[in-house]
Amino acid sequence: MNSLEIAKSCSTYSCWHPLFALEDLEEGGVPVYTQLLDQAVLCERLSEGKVSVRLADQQRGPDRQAEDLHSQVQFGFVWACIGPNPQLLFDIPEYHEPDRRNVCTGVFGVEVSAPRAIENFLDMGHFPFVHTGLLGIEPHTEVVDYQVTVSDEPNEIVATECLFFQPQAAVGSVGGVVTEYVYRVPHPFCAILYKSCPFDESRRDVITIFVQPESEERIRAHTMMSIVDPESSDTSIRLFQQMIFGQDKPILENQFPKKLPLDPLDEISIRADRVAVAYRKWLASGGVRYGVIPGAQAT
Amino acid sequence: MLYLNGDASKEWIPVASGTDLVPRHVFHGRLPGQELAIWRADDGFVNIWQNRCLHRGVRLTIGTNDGAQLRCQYHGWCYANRTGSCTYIPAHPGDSPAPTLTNRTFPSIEKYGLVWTTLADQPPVPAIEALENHVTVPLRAVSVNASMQTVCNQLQHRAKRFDEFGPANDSQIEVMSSGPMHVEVRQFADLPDASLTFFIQPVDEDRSVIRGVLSGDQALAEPLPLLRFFSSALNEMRDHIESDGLTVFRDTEKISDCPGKITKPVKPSNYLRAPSTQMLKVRVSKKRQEAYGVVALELSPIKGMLPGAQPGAHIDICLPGKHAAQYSLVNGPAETGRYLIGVKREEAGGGVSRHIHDELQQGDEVEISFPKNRFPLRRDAVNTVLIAGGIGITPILSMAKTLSHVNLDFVLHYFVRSEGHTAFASEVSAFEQNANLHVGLSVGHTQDQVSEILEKCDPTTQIYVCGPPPMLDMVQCVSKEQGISEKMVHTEYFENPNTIDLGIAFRVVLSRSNKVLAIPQGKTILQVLQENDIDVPSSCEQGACGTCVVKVLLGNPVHQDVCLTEIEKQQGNWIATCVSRSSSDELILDI
Amino acid sequence: MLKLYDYELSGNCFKIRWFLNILGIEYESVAVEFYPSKEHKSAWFKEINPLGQLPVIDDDDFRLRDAQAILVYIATKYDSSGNWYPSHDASQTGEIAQWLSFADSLTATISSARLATTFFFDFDLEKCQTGGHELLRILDEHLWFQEQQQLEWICRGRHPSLAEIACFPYVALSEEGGISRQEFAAVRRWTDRVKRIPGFIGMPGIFPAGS
Ligand SMILES: N[C@@H](CCC(=O)N[C@@H](CS)C(=O)NCC(=O)O)C(=O)O
Ligand code: FES
Ligand SMILES: [Fe+2]
Repeated sequence: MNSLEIAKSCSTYSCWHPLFALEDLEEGGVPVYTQLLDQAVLCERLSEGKVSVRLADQQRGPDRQAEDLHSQVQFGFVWACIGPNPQLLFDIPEYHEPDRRNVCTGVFGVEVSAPRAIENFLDMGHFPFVHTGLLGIEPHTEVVDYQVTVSDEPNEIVATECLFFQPQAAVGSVGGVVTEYVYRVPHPFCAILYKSCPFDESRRDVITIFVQPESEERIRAHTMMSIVDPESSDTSIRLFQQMIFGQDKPILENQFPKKLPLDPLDEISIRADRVAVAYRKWLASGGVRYGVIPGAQAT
Repeated sequence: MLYLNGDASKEWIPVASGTDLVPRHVFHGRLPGQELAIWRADDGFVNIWQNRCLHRGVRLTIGTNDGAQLRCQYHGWCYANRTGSCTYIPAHPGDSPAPTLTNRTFPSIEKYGLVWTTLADQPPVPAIEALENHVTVPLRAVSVNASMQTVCNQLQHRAKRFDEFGPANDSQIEVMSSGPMHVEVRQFADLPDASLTFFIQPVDEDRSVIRGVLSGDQALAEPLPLLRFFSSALNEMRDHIESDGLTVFRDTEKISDCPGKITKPVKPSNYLRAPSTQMLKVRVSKKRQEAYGVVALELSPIKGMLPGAQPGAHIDICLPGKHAAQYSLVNGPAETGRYLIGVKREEAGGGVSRHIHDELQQGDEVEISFPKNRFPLRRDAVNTVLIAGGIGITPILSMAKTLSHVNLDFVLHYFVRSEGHTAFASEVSAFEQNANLHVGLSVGHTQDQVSEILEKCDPTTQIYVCGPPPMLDMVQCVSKEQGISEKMVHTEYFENPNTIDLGIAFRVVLSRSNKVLAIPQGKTILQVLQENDIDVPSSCEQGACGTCVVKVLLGNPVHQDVCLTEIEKQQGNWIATCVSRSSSDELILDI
Repeated sequence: MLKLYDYELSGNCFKIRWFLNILGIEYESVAVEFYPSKEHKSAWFKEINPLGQLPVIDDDDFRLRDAQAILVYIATKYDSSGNWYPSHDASQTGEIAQWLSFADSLTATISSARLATTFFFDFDLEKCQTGGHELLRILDEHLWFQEQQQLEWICRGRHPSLAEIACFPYVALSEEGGISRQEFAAVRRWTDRVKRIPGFIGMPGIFPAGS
């Protein structure tokens, strides 16, 4: 089976996928190319926040709407679904809170599969080694046990009580602290994290990664932050996030195979990888076939 | 003349030059269908490994070579020189990785200035007459985007061109007898003793590396002009091949799509406990008097390599007709070629130490267990205090070597009866101001000294203690008085100081053998199992060594051993069958 | 204080940050958001550099653009040892200038490839990659022969020079542009040596070397 056939047989064919930050598209500008699930698509920003997305090889007839793919704007991004019956897109309630700053922090091209990128996002163990001096520092390398729950309604994975020592957890932090994280995986290729907010103890900053699978082994990673930070400028928030992502990228591009192996014997997992283990199982049982190497086990 | 011998997978394949493997570097190598991480340890050993971390598949060539281990860039897992076994997982500093957690390694030899490996089982070592007994100098390896066959044809075809421009006129081409790879030997008229041999390393269907080796004696005193000449000649040939459209430019490296199954998969459930049954024969390569009543033994492999061990690990020495005895390894992270142990002569006990002192000779063979570790060292502490009493120095020294290797702060306190009783004195003094020797203190003064040491610890200091049981008890007592958390004090008992209560009777259900056995008062589980011919390995039989530990599936064990950790005891998933009991009527065991 | 118009993920800006760190010179970094907002093409920045390129320095109102030019300026003004840019020796100076220009070719190929793969710049990716690969071949052969003569660095002499600072960043970032260094063993050893030069600092995309 080729990649396109795999894409069509995969449950993610009827998921919403991010394509662009709305702010990166010019209103009334020319349609912009991108790639989704091995197919070229064209995206166009119309007036009044409306968008139109279609397959690039689709001839334009008189009834433009009928040829358009399903699309919507949410969390500042244009989302599209190639399949005929899109599933519901998850929500991030915090995004709608009036005093939050929602900042699109950029899209980056990475040579890796979508699920590998998600797994990296869910992983604390690499902080001291990859984000040295910012999100972690040696010798503080321990990942203490945390909780993982997988629920049906909504169908998502949640990891809680994730604690890690961080020298500079965010642009606004001064000095090292033990940061608490909560991770949510509401979509095979999207994840959200909540971490202690340096400005308000009672709130949590939200950072998201929405992965657009261009092909099985190449992605565009869209990142967004929804934070309570009255001080830092948008630019400094974006630059901090770019630095962090810039550190992850070369690691991801050196992972082999690029697709995520779902067979638990292919890679050794430890207690710190509990959420990754749950994620791999969840992908297998959810019928995800794109960007993964299916395993023997699928419970 | 070039020879083609069909199947490279059955031969030794040259994968690097010896000079490519400089200290503290990881060379990025290739074999058809897979990538290699090749690195030389400080002891000279050449490691050739699959270029994938066992954990999340990250290339090990982006990791770091610290001279003794290779560390992965992603989560810092460390893999040992020689064995490739995982020695440390930073996310879980308190656990010691199972010895079965081992990277895929390939054999390595160095010959003719090249480093070779093979996918086959011990094929004959390449023997090329022109290269034997001569000085050999490898040319600069030239990578060509073309198949081995194409490169081979071209080398043959262009041989004449080399002559035209070559440092020699009238060269003769000598024909080789069939070699393992595609080989060409040439001789130059005005450099009568020089010759050149080409090996072609297959990389992929459409990529190969030409590895030339010059050989000769006086002729190679100044090899630079020759090296330059052939480098240009090969570049020109490469450009010709590539411009012929025989190839396409390849932008990224691809490992074959099949991820290459890990040869020995380790299920996460096995991760906590090493197999305790495997035995190993080793040779006593050195025996020396180390201190009064203490000999040091160096144990070397008879065949293959010794399994990797982490600081704090011990082995059992098994002598025929005697109970096994446990000895901690003194090895530092860089010492993987042999095990070093210290043996104190014990007048009491099973007689193993007396046999070692009195009978065992250098050159003798002994049987030992695989290393086990119930005294793992955390490497996430900003400060570590190491306390040793007498022969308890052995695991402590191994820890000190490790902490020093990874640049973590520690202080070592070593209590001895007299100068003459100081085993491994020179290794201890190598730590200079980090090591404190306390000689000849009375029991009371030792306690004062320990109080003083512990008072200086802050709440993040990790404390490791090994020595005679009364000293361990004393340290635990003092640390409790000072309010130091139990979690921070790690001890290793060579003996179990507990009085064993065999008062309660209960049943054991052996789930896999489908048997129910009654354990009466006065008998241990282990004894009953042995009486019923159920084979459970054992060693000290006093709850100290951990050999007889089995998995508990259901029931409440009452622990009387000193080998399980406090956490393992609380979890109740394991039991030391030689001493521990049950508070439930029944224990279901996984045997 | 010396002011550097800077972008964290730029290899050319990294050259300056790193060299200033080696010499222990304090500076003020003015972040210019190259991506995604293309601030280097904004009107205010074009006032500073009409080419719309980073990096630029401003040292006591003396303004200078182009990473290589800046390195030469800083070395000449602040490196009292004279090791990084031995300007009294004609062949050494010439040699360094040759490699500074090579470094600019690396920017034109490898850096462009990286901008295309990572930030979706509309460049001819294949052409940039082929060009970068060709330059790495040349560098690798040069470094291999240096090693044969027990020379560790790009230029003659026992001390690393500005050639290291100028060439290293895009060599080390080549894989982000999809250009593998697997076959360039001498280049890989050299990048390890460079990372061990006292005062080395990394940037995202560049891993530390073993000690
Ligand atoms: N020759 C210049 C090239 C600098 C350069 O290409 N800078 C990049 C950032 S790394 C840039 O600003 N590019 C924008 C452009 O060239 O339009 C130098 O070495 O400084
Ligand atoms: S991938 Fe190597 S340590 Fe995690
Ligand atoms: Fe990360």
